Parts: sequence; C-alpha cells; structure tokens
Amino acid sequence: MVELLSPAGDFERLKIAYLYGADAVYVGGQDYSLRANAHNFSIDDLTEATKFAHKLNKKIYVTVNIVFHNDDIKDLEKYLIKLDEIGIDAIIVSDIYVMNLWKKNNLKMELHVSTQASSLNYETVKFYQSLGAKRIVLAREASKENIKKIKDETGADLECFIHGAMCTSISGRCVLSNYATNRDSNRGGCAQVCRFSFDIDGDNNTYSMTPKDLNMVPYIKEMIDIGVNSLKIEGRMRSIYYIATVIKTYRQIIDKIMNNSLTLEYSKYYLDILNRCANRDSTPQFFDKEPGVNEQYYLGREEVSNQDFLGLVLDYDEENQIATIEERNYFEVGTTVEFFGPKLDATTFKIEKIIDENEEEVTAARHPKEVLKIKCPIKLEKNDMMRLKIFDIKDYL
Amino acid sequence: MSVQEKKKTKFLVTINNIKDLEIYKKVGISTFVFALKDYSIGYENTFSYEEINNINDKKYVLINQVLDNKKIDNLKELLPKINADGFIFEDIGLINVFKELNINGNKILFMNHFNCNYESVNIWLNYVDSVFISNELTYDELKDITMKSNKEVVLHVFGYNQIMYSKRKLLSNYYKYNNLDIKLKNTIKDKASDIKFNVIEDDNGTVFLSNKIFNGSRLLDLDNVLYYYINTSFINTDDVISFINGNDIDNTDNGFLDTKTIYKLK
Repeated sequence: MVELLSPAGDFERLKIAYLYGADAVYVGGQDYSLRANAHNFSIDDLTEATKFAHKLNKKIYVTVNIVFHNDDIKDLEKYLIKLDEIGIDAIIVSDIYVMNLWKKNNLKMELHVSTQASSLNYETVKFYQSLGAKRIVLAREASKENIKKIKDETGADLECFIHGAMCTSISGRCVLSNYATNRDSNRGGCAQVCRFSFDIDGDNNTYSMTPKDLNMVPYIKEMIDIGVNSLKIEGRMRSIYYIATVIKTYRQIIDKIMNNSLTLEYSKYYLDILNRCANRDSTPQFFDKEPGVNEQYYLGREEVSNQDFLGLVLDYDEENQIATIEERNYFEVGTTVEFFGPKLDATTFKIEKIIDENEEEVTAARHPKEVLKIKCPIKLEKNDMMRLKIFDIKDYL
Repeated sequence: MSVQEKKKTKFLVTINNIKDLEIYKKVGISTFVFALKDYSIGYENTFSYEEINNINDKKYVLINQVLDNKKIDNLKELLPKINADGFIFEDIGLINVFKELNINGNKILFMNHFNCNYESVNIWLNYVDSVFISNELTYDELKDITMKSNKEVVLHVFGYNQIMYSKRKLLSNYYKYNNLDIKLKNTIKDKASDIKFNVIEDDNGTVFLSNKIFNGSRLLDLDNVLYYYINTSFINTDDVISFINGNDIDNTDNGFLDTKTIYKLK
C-alpha cells in the first residue's frame, strides 16, 4: 500500500496530518534540520509525537539532513541514539557521516536518504543501499522513466514529492542564500533568494526564476503503478488548514485510485481545491517533461492570499446541534460554508445563527481566535474545519 | 625551488582553450582539467573524449553533472574510451561504475557544497582517492579539515564559485516568455540590494556563478593538500597567471574564509 507522507512543523500540525489521512509524518528536531527557523520538535515533543503516531499505527520520520560542519557534529551521535530510543521510525539524512553513525551504532530506525542528496540514477541509489539505506527520497528532477528504471534496477523503497513548493535548483546544489544573505542554505537557513526579483539587461526589466508549485494530481496512479512507495507533501512551515486540505484531498485521490473510482471529473475538482489552498499555480514539473517556459513565474511572487479558512471545530453538541468553532477568518449570518474533516467529506451549510463568547447573538464573526457557537445540523467532530464554499463537486459531475 | 614554485606543482588548472595549455606550462603548471562535453556544467568550454585523448599532459576529466539513468548508462560506454590520469566527479553513482569497469586513475569526489566536516571527508576517502572540500567554509574550518583528513584533499583557491545548479533553462525561459532574443550568459542584480550573480545556461541546465572571483591564496599555506584547484572559466589567462605568480588581481574576494555563515536567526 502506498504511503501518504505529510510534513508537520509542530505537534498541532502533526496531529492534524494523521487525523486527515497521512500514513506517516516527517518532522524536524530542534537541531540538524533544514527548517532551522521553524518551531520544530524538542526531544520531549518527539517522544510525545512518536507515542501519538504509534497509537494510531502510523509512522514518524525525523529529518537530520543538514550538511554538517565541524562544529555541528559534536552531539550528533548522542542525538541519533536518543531518536532510536524514542522509537522514531526513520531518519532522513543527506550527509554520509550521519549514515555512518547510524550503521556504527546499529540503530533500529530506518535510514532514508534525503532529496538533498539528489539521487537521480540507479547507481547512486545502489550506492546508498550499500550503506544501509532502506529508502531513497529521489531528486525532484526525476522523470517518470527515471523513477521506473531506478525501481526496476534497485528494488529500493522510493519516496517522491507530489505536492508543494519546488527548489529552483537541484536540492542541495544551491548556496545563493550563503552568498546573498550569509545564511547557510544547506544548514536550514535558506532565505529563498531564488524568489527575489532581479534586474536584467537594464531598463528596469524584472527577472524572476520562481518555479510554480508541484502538483501531481494527474499522475498519482502512474506513480503508484511504477512502484513509488511513498508520496510526499512539501511544507513543514505550512498551516493546519493547508495540511488538512492537502492531506485530505490526496487521501481521497489515493483511496479512489485503490477502489478504481477516480474519474477525470473528480481529479479536476481536487485540483481546483488544491490550487486554491496553495494560492499559487502548480504543475507536474519534471515528471512528464523537462519544465519549460510555463513552469515558472516571471514577475516575482504571484500569490493571491485568500481567507477561505473560517474556523476550526472545537466541539459539537449533538443533542442541541451546536458547533463550537474557533474563528480564523471573517464570516457572517448567511455565508455559505462547507465543513470537512477526517471522517467528513465536504458538506455545504448556510450560517444561520452565531453566538459569541458572551452568549450573545451576533451577525458576524470578526475576531480571529474567538470561540463562537453556531447552530449546525451536520454532525461534526473536534478538528473538523469550516471553509468558504468555492467549489461544488456537483458542478463537475 | 621556492615555496611558490613547489605549490605550482600542486595547482590543478581547468582549461578553456587547448592553446592555453602552453601558456600555463610556461609558468610551471603541469596538471590540467578538461570538462567533459555533455557531462559537465558551468564551465567556459567542454571537450569531447577524442579531444581529451589527444592531450599528452597530465590531465583530469571533469564530470560535474548530477546524472540521470541515461547519462550513467552512456558514461558506462564512454569511460573506457577515455585516456586520463584521473576523474573529478559530482555524482556518487560513478563510484560503483568506475569500480565495475576497472577504470584507472585517481578518482576525486567533487560534490559541490558538500563535504564540510572532516568526518564525512574521511568516510568518502574510503571510496575515492581524494575529495574536494566545500568552498563555503572559513579558513579555520578548512584548516581543521585538511589537518584531520586521512588522505590529501583538494581545495578551491581561485575562480568564480559555482553557487547554484538547476536543471531548468532559467535564462531562455525568461527570454522566451518576454519574446526577446535569447542570451545564454548574463548578469542579474537583486532589485533591493547590490547583490549580483553571473548566470550561464546550456542544454543541461543553468548555473549561477559568484559575482567576484574567489581568491584563496591564503589556503596555499595549508598542508595535506593533493591539489589546489584553479577554475579559469570566464577569467583571462593573464589574471590566472598573476594569481599563479602570487600577484594581486582585481575583482576578487576571499569568499567565506573570514565569514562564518549562520542558519538560526534566534
């Protein structure tokens, strides 16, 4: 069974990822991870997260994928042993020293080779297998033919990105950030210099090289068919709403592929939901062809933010049909919304009554994080989400 | 022989034009690097294996692309035909290929930006004859690594640094989108600062080069070095020779030799 692998920047996101259908989650510790400025997980957090994951029969992986300098290696061995004791299922690494420590200490957790190592051919994968790697996260530049041949020649567990932001460069082969901002990109300090706007050829022309996001909705079945073991979502810095939406959508796609019910109409609907959630255009990038003129932006960042995420369900009183919601964005009586959740497919509802924290009826929800009550006949559960209704599956069928 | 003359025997100099060989040999350089056509990227010129085989000097072949399956398979055919004293390579898949094909000569691993600590370097040295050390390190870090390496290593000492490598066509995409004539070499400048990068593109992708030439002459004092690497791409031979002779050159900086990079902002 193919694995759906989610990012999580903290415990709340991790919980949401599992609840919404991720089979496994990857997280960074407070050291040695490429998102050095995310909240990340302390050892205590990792212990708690691992217990939570295993209780659900799910997996947790920890990124230890910086390129280590001399000063970084002092406590690394102790850290790896600790991760193993906690029961982490795998570490994701790029530096050969980490692979060596894993082997030397005979650690139980699996060794996964990070996309930072840019594995793009079967000989490279065989080399990492010889060091003990169970799984290889392929370079984002891998085409369908490449992935298939690597699988056929090596039999390795393969993990491929299916959704999220792309590096402009081959991962790991970029130190623009070091040169432009003195922040070390290969130790988690990437300042995303490739998303800056530049002058070129004078005359105030704007040069931008930002790639559009990756989105593999049209090719998930092919990826499964050629033997990809794990489908990976990018974005450890993303919000709970993003994680819930993306994971839920890909969960539905995978499940529909498995029961042979994914149609073009559903694919189109899912694609629209994902694109709206990311606020950016997306393409399959390298999977089906060499990316060309249509796979990047030319005018700097082209993101239009939206306020679709309206609230998080904290509780539901089934007897009185009252949902307790933590507000995230403005909504009012009369707004047509939809609820979705781990066990709930998108269900439409028109807001009829809003009660504020003082038990007073209000016409609109104007204060993010305010806890409100709304009358709602749809049976909800804690951690369901409420969003603005934009797309209706009926319009696609 | 002076210290400078001794160091010249350890300079490893990339070649842009065959005619430059004589110029460099006259100043005491004896070991050269040729970027292999279709398998290297970011260099001013590349050479076919026939052209390389015709060179009678001590020579290394540079293969610095991240390779896909097709390129690896093609190289399995090509490598036995190449007559060289050694290979400098980026993709670790070639380690097994060299072994399987019994390819002679020194194997030097050049994973750009990687190999930033002595432990990793020493592990790689179990598989190859030498390793390029990253050029984004301080002098002290480089000194520590060279001192603790189990074999001699290679240090960059002169040239534009390759600082980004993409499989995308980042210049021609821009010009196509804007319906302009395509230029495959250009300089871009950040709109909000004075940061500049040189950009070059070919059929295999795009490489960004530093705006200034890296001058690591201080590194010539370090021991346990197999070669001091001089990347002459886009630099005139007079400037290269000035460096080799220990003279000052314009438009250079010393990269990160005195500047520690940071990664946690708190």
